[in-house]
Amino acid sequence: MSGASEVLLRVYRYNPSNSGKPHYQNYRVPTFRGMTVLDALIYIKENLDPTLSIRYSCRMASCGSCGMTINGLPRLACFTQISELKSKYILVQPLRNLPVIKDLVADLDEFFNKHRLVKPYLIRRDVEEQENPREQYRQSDEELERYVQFAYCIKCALCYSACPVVSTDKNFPGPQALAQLYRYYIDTRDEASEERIRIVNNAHGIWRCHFADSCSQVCPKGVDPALAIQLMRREMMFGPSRG
Amino acid sequence: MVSERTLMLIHYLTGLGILVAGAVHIGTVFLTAPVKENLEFSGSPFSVMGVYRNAILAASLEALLLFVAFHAFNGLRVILIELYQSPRWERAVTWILTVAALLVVIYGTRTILIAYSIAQGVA
Ligand code: SF4
Ligand code: FES
Repeated sequence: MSGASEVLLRVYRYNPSNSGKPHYQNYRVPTFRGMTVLDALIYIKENLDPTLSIRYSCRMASCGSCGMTINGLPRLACFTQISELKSKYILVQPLRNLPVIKDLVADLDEFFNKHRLVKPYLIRRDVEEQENPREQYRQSDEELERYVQFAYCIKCALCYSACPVVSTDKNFPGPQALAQLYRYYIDTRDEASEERIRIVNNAHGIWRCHFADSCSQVCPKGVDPALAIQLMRREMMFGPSRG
Repeated sequence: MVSERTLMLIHYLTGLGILVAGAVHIGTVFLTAPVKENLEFSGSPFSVMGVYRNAILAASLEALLLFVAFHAFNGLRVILIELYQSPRWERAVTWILTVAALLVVIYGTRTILIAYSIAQGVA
């Protein structure tokens, strides 16, 4: 961090099992060049307060488990350097729009259930053949291009946490699930277009997106769920464009 | 049960319709003559009754009424079902707003028809 050797982390603390109220705790953390918010939290856990709960695994923006709200925005703690925040004061909270298990660990069940709802896998009419394929399902570069961007999703739930519709309508599938719906819908190997449309063509489905675009703003992998939602709505409104 | 896609398609189309019929309405009320003459009850082809005398313009008012009624009440439905979720609430919102929209359309159509029939005699 330029010139600074210490930051103040103000961390959300909550432990439902001892029926304590949510509160904030401050920690002073010495910084080093390239230090991430996750490094700072691990420092706290190892040196200042072992009771702090965090979730992480890969430390390289691949597993999607360290999502939290950092200085007001949903971000991956392992992918956010202290220096980029340009502040000596860092507010760390759990992801919004999800229940809290403890401290900075949000409960992702609801998020994964919605992901499951859109059937995020290839569906073929001939199940027998799909189980024992006789040859590769070939695709051209152009066909791959249509969905590959959306296949980079690491299911970190940052977009879900940023979505204003999810915060008011708990039945809305959310940007991640809708983007994955489009990812499989537009895949030429998939044969369940009608079924996929049926899943989200309802009063709390895809039409409820306000196109706030906050999902795409916060996605750490450049997935652009808002684009997927608009493309899917176009498909549903004007009919399939898939060749 | 009308699908959500169909409702939203009509929602977008009525939005466009409001732009067109609304422009025709504003145009005929304010831009076809000096404002004073436009807002006169009768006496010229551009007065209030003069506009109603023209069947096409009267029909465009009816279209505007239909477009606004659908667009506004469907918009309200979308807001209300996003505000709170329960199957009972959703059913109630849908029914109450459908009836309210129908009442608005019936009352507005009645007004347009009365004005149209008066206009045939006075303008
Ligand atoms: S779309 Fe982006 S922000 Fe949303 S879950 Fe996937 S990777 Fe995370
Ligand atoms: S620890 Fe895996 S994405 Fe951050």
